[in-house]
Amino acid sequence: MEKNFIDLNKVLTELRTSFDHSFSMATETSVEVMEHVLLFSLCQASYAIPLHYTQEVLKVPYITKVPLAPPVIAGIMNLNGEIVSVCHVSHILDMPPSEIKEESRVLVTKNLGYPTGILVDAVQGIVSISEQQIQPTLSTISSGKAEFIRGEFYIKDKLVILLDMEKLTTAPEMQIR
Amino acid sequence: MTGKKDPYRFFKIEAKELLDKLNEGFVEIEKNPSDDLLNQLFRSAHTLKGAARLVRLENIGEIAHYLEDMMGEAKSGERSLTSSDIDRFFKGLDAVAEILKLIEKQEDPHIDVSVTLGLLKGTAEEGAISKTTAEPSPPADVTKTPSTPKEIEQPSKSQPPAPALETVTVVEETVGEEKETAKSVLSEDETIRIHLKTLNTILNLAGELVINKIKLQAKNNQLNALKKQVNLNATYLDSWEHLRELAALKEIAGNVPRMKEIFSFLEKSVTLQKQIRDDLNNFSDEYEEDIKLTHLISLRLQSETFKARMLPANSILLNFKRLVRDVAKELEKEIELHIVGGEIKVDKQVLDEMQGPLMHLVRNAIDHGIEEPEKREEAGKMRTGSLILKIEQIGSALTITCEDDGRGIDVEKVATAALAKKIVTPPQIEEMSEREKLYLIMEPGFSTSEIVTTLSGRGVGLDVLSTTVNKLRGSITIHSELGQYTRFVIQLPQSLANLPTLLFRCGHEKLLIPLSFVRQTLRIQSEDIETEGNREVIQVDGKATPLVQMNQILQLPNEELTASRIPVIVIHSREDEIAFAVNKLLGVQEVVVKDLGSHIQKVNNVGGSTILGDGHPIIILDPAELVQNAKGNSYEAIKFVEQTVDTEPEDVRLLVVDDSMTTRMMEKTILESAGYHVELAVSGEDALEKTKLFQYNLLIVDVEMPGMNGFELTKTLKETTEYAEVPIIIVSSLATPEMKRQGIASGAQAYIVKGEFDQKILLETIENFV
Repeated sequence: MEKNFIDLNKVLTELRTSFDHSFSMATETSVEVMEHVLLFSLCQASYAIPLHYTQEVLKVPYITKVPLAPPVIAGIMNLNGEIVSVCHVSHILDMPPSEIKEESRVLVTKNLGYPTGILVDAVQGIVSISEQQIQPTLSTISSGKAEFIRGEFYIKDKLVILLDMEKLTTAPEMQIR
Repeated sequence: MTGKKDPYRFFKIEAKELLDKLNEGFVEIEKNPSDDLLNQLFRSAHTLKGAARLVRLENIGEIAHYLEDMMGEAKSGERSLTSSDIDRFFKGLDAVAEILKLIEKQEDPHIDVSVTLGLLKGTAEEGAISKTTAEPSPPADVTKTPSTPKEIEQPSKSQPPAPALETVTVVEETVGEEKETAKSVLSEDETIRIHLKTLNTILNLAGELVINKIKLQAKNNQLNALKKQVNLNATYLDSWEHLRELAALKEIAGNVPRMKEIFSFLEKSVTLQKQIRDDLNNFSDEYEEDIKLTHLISLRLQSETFKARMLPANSILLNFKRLVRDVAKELEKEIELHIVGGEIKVDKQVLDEMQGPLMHLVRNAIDHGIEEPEKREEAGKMRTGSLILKIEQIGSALTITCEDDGRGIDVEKVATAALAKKIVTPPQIEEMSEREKLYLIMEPGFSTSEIVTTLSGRGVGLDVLSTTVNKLRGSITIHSELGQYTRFVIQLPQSLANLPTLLFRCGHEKLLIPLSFVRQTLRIQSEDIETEGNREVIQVDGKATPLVQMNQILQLPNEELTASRIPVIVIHSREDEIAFAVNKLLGVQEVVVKDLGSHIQKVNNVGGSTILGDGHPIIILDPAELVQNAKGNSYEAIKFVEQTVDTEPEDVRLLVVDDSMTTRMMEKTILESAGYHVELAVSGEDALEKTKLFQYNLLIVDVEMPGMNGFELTKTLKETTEYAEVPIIIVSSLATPEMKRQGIASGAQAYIVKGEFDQKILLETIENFV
């Protein structure tokens, strides 16, 4: 029976320690604002979007082509009974449309209140970056797609391009009327 | 939506309903006054007053209060209502409607209504004065013509007009009554309001349930395969049971050491195996029953949710009474409005979308259609024009007819106006038939009215009707005879949620087209194709119909149509018919219409999408656009490749005809799990329709059905060339030899009695024929 008693003192001490710890953590990082981003590859390059735009990451489901739809639309898919369009972001970024392979994924992003699928070649993970790490884009990127890019940063010497989701999802090419 | 609660969220719903009731009631009371109606109006006004004061909308409160007082006086007989009174009441109601609109737009609704109140009351005072001074007049002729608006009646009751104070007490008495009625109504008629979006979510989930059931079915097929293996193993073990009785074996068992032990292990294994086999068989049977039940329940869930979206057409049509009265009065026309079929239930979304365009159509009919009373008399017509709004339900299609017996549409005037407005060019007009010219009135920017009135003739309206109807996947036809009538016939799917469509394959893509636009389907051979000018045509019902390949219109990969007989879908829109060649017809599907994902507003030739039973999205085409785009263009000729078509298993198509949903679904489940493609018909008549559209390989027909019975259907089908050779199986609960004889005499190939109905018998019988 006795060992079932909770040692209240011990629990309180533990709570206290973890509280202090989290507090010191918070003060350490408060200098830099950290942002979680989702890394993915597209046409052999690495890209990132802020994590909060992502609703879910799916293995590529069955995608139905829409006849006569503009090339940016890969098709439509079934997301729990709801129809969601899937886009070739590569098209907006002036790159060739990606082929669907084993590692390909659909990022279901939410912006403007509705889900949109984005087809990527692979998802590489989630990293945390600070505002200071983000540098302005180099001139190597063609002017056509520069407007959709927020900046770039390095993860272990690898260049990652951070996309501007606001501009990307409201791009005229994405609004099909 | 913000998390903040809208203080008016219940008020606006209630106020809207009360406003509708008041509007409708005042129109009615002008024609047929009754105490009942007065009571109703009084109560509605009172409830509105109370509700408005509760949400601190004094402006609505005061208007309602005044109306309540007036109704109170009319009720007690102190006042009889004249047409001009009612006009004033309507002004008050319009002000209420304006305030409700502000609430809807989330603007400040606390507007000053003193002007409206002045309008309301100012005349009322006048009435009150004349009331007291008026001489006794003959008792209640309350049915008044609008031509005597100032007439005020003496109370019909003999008692002198009640002093103001007394009126108040009367009112309060009734207040008590009113509250009681309200309570009892609430408890009897328990309903809750549900947002359309919530209902759609439920519908989506119900659809997912059906898809999941299909997955369970697939699992069941695996289970059946396993069962087969276990059963096979059991037969091996059976032979072991025979073997062990052999003397030779017994001898070995006696002589060889430990053999007895081995035999006993085998013995145990055999018993266990048999146990496993029996358990598995039982489990599998029960599992199959469960799946069938799940199937039935999920279908039921789907259809009940569909029904929840339906409202009687009257919920919008009753507003039209007020509209017609007001417009007719303003234009000094005499019009009788007939509403037919208002009780028919229609998808709420269809009603909401159609209300505006229909109102415009009605305004147009009164403004441009029906002539002034004098002109009508000159033309030898009744003084009072007639306007008919008719709702009909034919199958799953809904027809709205708006017909007036006015001057009709002058086609030449339309043509001239269209030219003047540069909607068409002179060469285009040359090409057009009389009927085609008629449809110019629905082009954007068209208006023939010489004077732009406040009511119509602004050049918008009819094109809005046309756009709305297209969006709802419906169609409009116009009929008119100069000097006689104008009739707009609008065909709509009854429910947006459940659209009957035709499934077909074009290239590698499966596609759907709304069935209401399919005139017919047929199979053509190379010799059926004629050349007319630079394009190919085929004869459909004796009419040369342009033939176009669907994949070219949709710019799909050009897969050759490799059959000696090519399936063709004849699609009609307005007056045009085009035959589209496709790769394969796959059957009729009722689908839930969805959009193309939120950021795709519109893609040419595409009307929407849906999710099929396999969980994959599929495109629904826009037939009107298809026909318009295919018209006038010439396309590559169709190449025929002579080849024998081999029958794939999915090609075996069965039609189950039964009026009982349970039987239909049960048979469908059994047959589908056996790998057949099954379609359903709910009656003999329905079956005849479907057999015209498709060539089925076998029919399963019930005998006892309302209308055409199974024997008659069989006989009729056997007389056609297409079905003379197609096997028909009759399934019936009638087991008498006489019945069986009748069945065979009608031409059926087999007769199964429902009592002995067993899926094995059914499946074996079918296997024998296909």
